[in-house]
Amino acid sequence: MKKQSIEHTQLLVLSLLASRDIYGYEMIVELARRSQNVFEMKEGTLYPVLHAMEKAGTVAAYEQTAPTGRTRKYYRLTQKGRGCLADEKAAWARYADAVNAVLRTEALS
Amino acid sequence: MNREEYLNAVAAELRGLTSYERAAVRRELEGHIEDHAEALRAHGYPEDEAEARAAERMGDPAETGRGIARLYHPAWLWAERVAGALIAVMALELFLGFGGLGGVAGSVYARFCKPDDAHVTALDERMEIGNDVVRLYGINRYSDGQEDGVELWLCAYDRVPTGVVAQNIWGWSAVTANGEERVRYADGGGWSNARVTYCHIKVPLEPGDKTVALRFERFGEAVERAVDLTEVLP
Repeated sequence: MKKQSIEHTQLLVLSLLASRDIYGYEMIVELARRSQNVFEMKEGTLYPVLHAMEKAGTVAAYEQTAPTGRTRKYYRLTQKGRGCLADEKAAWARYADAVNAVLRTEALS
Repeated sequence: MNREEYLNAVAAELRGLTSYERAAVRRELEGHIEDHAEALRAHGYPEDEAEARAAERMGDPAETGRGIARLYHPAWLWAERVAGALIAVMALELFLGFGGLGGVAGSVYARFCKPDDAHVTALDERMEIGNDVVRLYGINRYSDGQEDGVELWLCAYDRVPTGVVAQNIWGWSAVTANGEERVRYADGGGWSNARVTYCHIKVPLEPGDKTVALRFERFGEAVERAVDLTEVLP
């Protein structure tokens, strides 16, 4: 299967953050794992998205030092982000349903 | 492209960010590359290759840099620049002690000055009071019909010519003649600026007084210097 670039990066990020706070590299790893390597991106381009979300207030960031001494910037879902995730998810489901509905009618005709 | 080249290329796009913001972005991206390189090394990649591959996977640094730079408001950069300029000005002001450099010459002069009246005997007694130096540079007898005594000519300055002298230095002082307090005064009443202060005082003497002493007391510490009148006055 041809690898796809992520288009709904924000939605995917919000979804990843719903369960726990993670840092940028972890997001890339999780996205690849959960999508069985369908989602791959130029990793650096994740950061403009993350920073934009931070400015928009859907995520908040904090730095935390790991026991190894490395400091990482963690992102956490804000209340606003939770609301945004619910909306985006619903919108995506409607879109997917619509696409599927069209594909089904094509098969029937 | 290695890690440094990537990070520098991103930073080149971040001119609109404050140094603090730039450093934070750099830390975050560097941490990402480091994490990725570490994972690759754990998978058996040699050191160099792991680094190169992790940096390469980041994609176009200019794109990422521009994407981030767009989000930051240049007002903060200007705020940082203005704050930096203000701090520089304040540091300079502190160094100059608010008085400009003009007073420095006066502070140096006070170290060597001599009384300008012929009837005043030149002296050079110096006392260190904290960071300041009090200098007794002249003494003379006086008699005004009601009392006889001596006049003391004093100046005070910071040990460092650019330093500031304590403005209330005369307020800590007392003058004794033969151990008896004769004058205590709250201010010098002489000429002064930030770096130097002059003071001249009259000490009434009783017949038979042979010494006059200056005494400075501050924070429980006292410094005293006696002058033998029989030696210094004709």
